[in-house]
Amino acid sequence: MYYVELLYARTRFLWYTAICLGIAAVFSYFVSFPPAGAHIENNGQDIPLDVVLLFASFIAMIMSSMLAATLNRDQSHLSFIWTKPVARERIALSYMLVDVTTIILSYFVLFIVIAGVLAIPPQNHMITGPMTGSVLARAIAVPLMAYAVVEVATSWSPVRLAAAQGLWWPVGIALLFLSEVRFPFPIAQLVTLVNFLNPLAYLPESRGHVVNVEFVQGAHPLTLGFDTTTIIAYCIFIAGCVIAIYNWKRMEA
Amino acid sequence: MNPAQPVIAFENVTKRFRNFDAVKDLTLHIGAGSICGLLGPNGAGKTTAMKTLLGFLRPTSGTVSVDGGPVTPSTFESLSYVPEVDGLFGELTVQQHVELNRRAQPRHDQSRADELLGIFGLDRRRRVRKLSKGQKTALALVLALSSRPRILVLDEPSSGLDPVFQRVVLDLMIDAASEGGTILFSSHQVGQVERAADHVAIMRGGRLLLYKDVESLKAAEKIVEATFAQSVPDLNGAIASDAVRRVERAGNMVRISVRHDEDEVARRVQAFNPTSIRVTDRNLEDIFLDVVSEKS
Amino acid sequence: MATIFTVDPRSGVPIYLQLIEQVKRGVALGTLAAGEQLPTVKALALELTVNPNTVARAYRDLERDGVIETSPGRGSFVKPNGMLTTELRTDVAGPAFDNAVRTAKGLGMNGADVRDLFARALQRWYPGEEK
Repeated sequence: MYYVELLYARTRFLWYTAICLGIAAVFSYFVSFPPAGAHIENNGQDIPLDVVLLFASFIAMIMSSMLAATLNRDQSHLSFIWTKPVARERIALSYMLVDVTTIILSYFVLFIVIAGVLAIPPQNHMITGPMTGSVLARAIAVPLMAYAVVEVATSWSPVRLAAAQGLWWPVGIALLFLSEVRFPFPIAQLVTLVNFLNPLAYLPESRGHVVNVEFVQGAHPLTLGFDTTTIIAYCIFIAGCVIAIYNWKRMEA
Repeated sequence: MNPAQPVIAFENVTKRFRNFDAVKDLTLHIGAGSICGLLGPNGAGKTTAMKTLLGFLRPTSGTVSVDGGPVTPSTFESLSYVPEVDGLFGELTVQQHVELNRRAQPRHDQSRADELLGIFGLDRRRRVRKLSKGQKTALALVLALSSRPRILVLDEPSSGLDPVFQRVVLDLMIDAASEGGTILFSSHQVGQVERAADHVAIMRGGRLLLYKDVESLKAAEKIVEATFAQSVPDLNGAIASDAVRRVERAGNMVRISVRHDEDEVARRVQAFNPTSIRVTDRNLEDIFLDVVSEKS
Repeated sequence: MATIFTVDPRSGVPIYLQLIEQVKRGVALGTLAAGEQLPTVKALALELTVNPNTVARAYRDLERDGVIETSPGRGSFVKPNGMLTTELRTDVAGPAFDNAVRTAKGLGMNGADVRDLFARALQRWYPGEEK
């Protein structure tokens, strides 16, 4: 039954890869053959791998958005797929496996493309840092978490909720901004709590304060470690998928 | 499987939506080898009842069962559904749908699928979004019947089909029933039910008004139909009795609906010397209209 | 010899009775020969697009009346020397006579007129027969 989702994901993946390669090709061209008169300040840059990993993560969330709302997309086909001797959980799980694989693949494609472009000028070096492993783990977790959150938001209703695929971006960004505002207790804490579900808050350079959680007013804010927060992201991803599958299975249509 | 046990059973099923009851206290048993036609005006609850049976909706109260047990994924190994609105994938071709079926349905019979595609004349390479409504219905039928199901549930299976294919659909149902299959189908066309069904269920406003085998339903009340050389004489005095339900006149003809003792009524009409007189069963369309318009 | 059956679900006569009547007529007229095989229940149901149970009921009643016999696995056949042909003929022709006389009466004819009509019909269809 995943056959359908496979076709859908494959089409999007191919487009995504084609666009990445296209943009990369353009960049490569200009990096290799800068137009006359352009100055590229480049005296041998050490490019931190971590930054590349995280940037790729941010872009990979676009693929998450494209694929999310998978279960909701099928609501006009339920009369076909729900009348086969295949358990609904199995159908949903197979869809998600296809999507997750595609998201991870597209992440790596993107990473390789970016790294490839940056590596063209021979003076550039990629350097790793002590946190690179953790950063990689986080970088993969975030698009997966984004996928799961949108799936949960859309899996429970037979009404088309495809808008959620795009809407979550401004909502996520708005939540980040809200976390900057000094609301009084308990609103500030509430905003922090909601940001736990906001994938954008898990990108370390963002301002979600998820890494530094201030539940307790005053001098001793609760701080979660980087890896702990990554684990939370993966847990939300898995929990989200489970909840989405459960919602969809129990849906009335 | 107990032969006496109904294949499809609704027990006091009620389905309530936010502000109204789409199905009210529906109890219906359909036995093996039976073709049951579900008739009713729009909004009668026919589709809701079918969806509740198949697990798309959960009954607010009451239970549904197939072969004596709850509906689970494995039920669909022997049960196929043809919905009123197709659930096909517009981007896929006819062949890809057959392929999907083959993967998901262990009892898929490819030779049967090929045969049915031929009967309906469907082009395998065509994408579903390019098919007409009738062709989509035909494809849905092909997919449903490819697994030679023992139980068939069809929601308005003839809508969008031209008369030739409507006959084909009825023939496919009759074919399945003669192999011991059980069929539940809803239709707006009383004539289809009259031909193909052995039982008819009439719903209105969410309630089951009637469930009976077609022949005895039609024979339950007789019509004494008499034609006179000139105008119809005044019969009322002669035939007045509680057995007579209704008397209709049209030109030289009179039709008397009689609950029982039709021969006695016929004999009395005979005394008035009609040019022709016969006693017939009612046809299903009249019965349906009567049942549905009764104020009860 | 292939016999073509037709049924009209809306005629007011139960379909199974229509079938029974047609089989009896066929046997009485000789279009259904003794020992001839009838279509299977399934085949006839499909040909007429009617419910198989209806056909089955007709076949059961025909068997009960001794017009056909069914052997499991082989099919249904017209019973040789089944329901006596004279009985069948009366069964089939009787109602036609009855209707004709009734129509005449309804038109205001008396017994003498009816006999007159009958004599003319006999003369036409059985010329030269002794009265």
